[in-house]
Amino acid sequence: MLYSTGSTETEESLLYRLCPVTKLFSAVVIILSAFLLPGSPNGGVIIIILLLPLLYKAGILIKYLKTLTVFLLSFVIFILLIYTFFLPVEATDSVKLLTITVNVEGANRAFFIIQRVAVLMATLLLFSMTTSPQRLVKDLYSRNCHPTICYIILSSYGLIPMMRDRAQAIQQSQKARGLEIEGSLAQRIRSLLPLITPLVISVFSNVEERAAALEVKGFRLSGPKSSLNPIVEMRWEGLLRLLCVCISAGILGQWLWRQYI
Amino acid sequence: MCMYQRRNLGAMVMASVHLKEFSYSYPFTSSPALNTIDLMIPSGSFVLVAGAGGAGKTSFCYSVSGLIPHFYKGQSEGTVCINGTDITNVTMHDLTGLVGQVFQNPHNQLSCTAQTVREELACTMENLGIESEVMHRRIQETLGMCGIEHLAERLPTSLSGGQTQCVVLASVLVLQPDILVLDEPLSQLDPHGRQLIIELLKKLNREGKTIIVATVNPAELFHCADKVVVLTDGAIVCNDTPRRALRRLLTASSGVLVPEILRMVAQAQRQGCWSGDEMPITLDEIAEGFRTWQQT
Repeated sequence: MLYSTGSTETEESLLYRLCPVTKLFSAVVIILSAFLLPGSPNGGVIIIILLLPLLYKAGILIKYLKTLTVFLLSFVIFILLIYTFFLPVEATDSVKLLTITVNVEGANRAFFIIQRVAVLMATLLLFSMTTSPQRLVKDLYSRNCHPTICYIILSSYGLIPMMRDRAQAIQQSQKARGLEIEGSLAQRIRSLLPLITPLVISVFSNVEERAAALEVKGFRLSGPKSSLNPIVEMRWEGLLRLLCVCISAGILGQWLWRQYI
Repeated sequence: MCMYQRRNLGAMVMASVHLKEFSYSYPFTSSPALNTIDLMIPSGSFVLVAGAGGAGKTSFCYSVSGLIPHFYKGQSEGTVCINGTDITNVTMHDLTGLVGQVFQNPHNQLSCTAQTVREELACTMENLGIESEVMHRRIQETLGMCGIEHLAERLPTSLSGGQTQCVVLASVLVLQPDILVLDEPLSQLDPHGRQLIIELLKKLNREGKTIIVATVNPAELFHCADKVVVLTDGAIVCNDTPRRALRRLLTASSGVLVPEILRMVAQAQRQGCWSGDEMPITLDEIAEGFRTWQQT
């Protein structure tokens, strides 16, 4: 899981203590600003950079940057190569480097796309690294979010460790039956079907039992709920959420204006 | 509320659970999972539902807990009544605090919203809107009762199979249900864990709770059960006391596990090397039978 904690300092830091819903609202604003505002998504980049000291204080800055690099590196290289070297190019927009023609306009476009995707990835990673799925569902549920949405998040979260264990068990049992799962690429591809089929079938049957268990636990009950350890929000979080809603509405409004009027 | 005394099974009482000519088929299947089940389980009794894999034990549990027909749609005939009320006429909300079910795979029963076992136990109570103070008290009592206080602050998904089984059972017990339905509750436990759960079930039964346990290996629970119901292909083939059910299990092929020691005793009894009229269901009874035979 991306969510990582461990030390008390981490858990007591501002980014971890913020209500998951507040973080969700803020993430939406940053992503919308990167994709729907005209010009370069510099705003989103600046916000992410401003948040880095908070990550440092929480003790997860290095891990965050490493993970982000792993996620982005192959994408950045791929986009840069395609846009800079392989797109048709006007003579005025190109620079000759030895024998290779570099598309300057393409490189600019690549940087623009990379900036947007980087903001998206950085925001989602920041959210998932500092928000436990359990706390997110609890927060959504306590705000009377529809049980189906909570259920979808819960099922997906519950499925990950289950699928990992199941996949390991299937792999071992198929190996014991003599299935070659190592070796050449062709051999690996051939072994995929007998590995994936039982995994998918078992996951489907487990999903049904999980859904039944949630039903028994009263997840779909209407009426007042209570909480053993309610999520405590800071006084200004409501204001921040309101601000996020207003900014999001503004961004969407200007985008619709530019698109249709 | 329990109105009946344990083992007062002969008396004419209002059934705690009553399946009347109940049949059920899952959607898109032709053969019924449960076939004309007619069974009365008086309040406060301890019933084992035994059978091979696919005999209908899990469907039986779902029928009692109300998941059939409230969650699992399909074709059903007959009725299932809890304390005289047809469960089709009540909601899952009404049944949540009345019937507690422990599923076959305990990992599937974790809510995944809880960061600690304490919160896991609170999960259903939160959905029912129970007050925080009551929750704290009940959780502490249940943790102690199940012997899992040391797990209270652990992440539920990080526990072993046996520990998860105990936590799931505790999460059901914390609701203080009158009827407890357990599907293979001992399957993931080590000998110590099995003993702990068996003792706990006996204690709960003594307190008046109705216990229904579905298992493929009923022998280890024979000594606490009032009745053993054996299912084959969704139908009841035996509904008797543990001793008489055991004799039947030894002669018929039902797919239910019978320990070798009991087969040996039956053989010894046939050959006149073991004294006793009824089949033994504890090791002490087996030893007593051999001792008596030796003395005579």
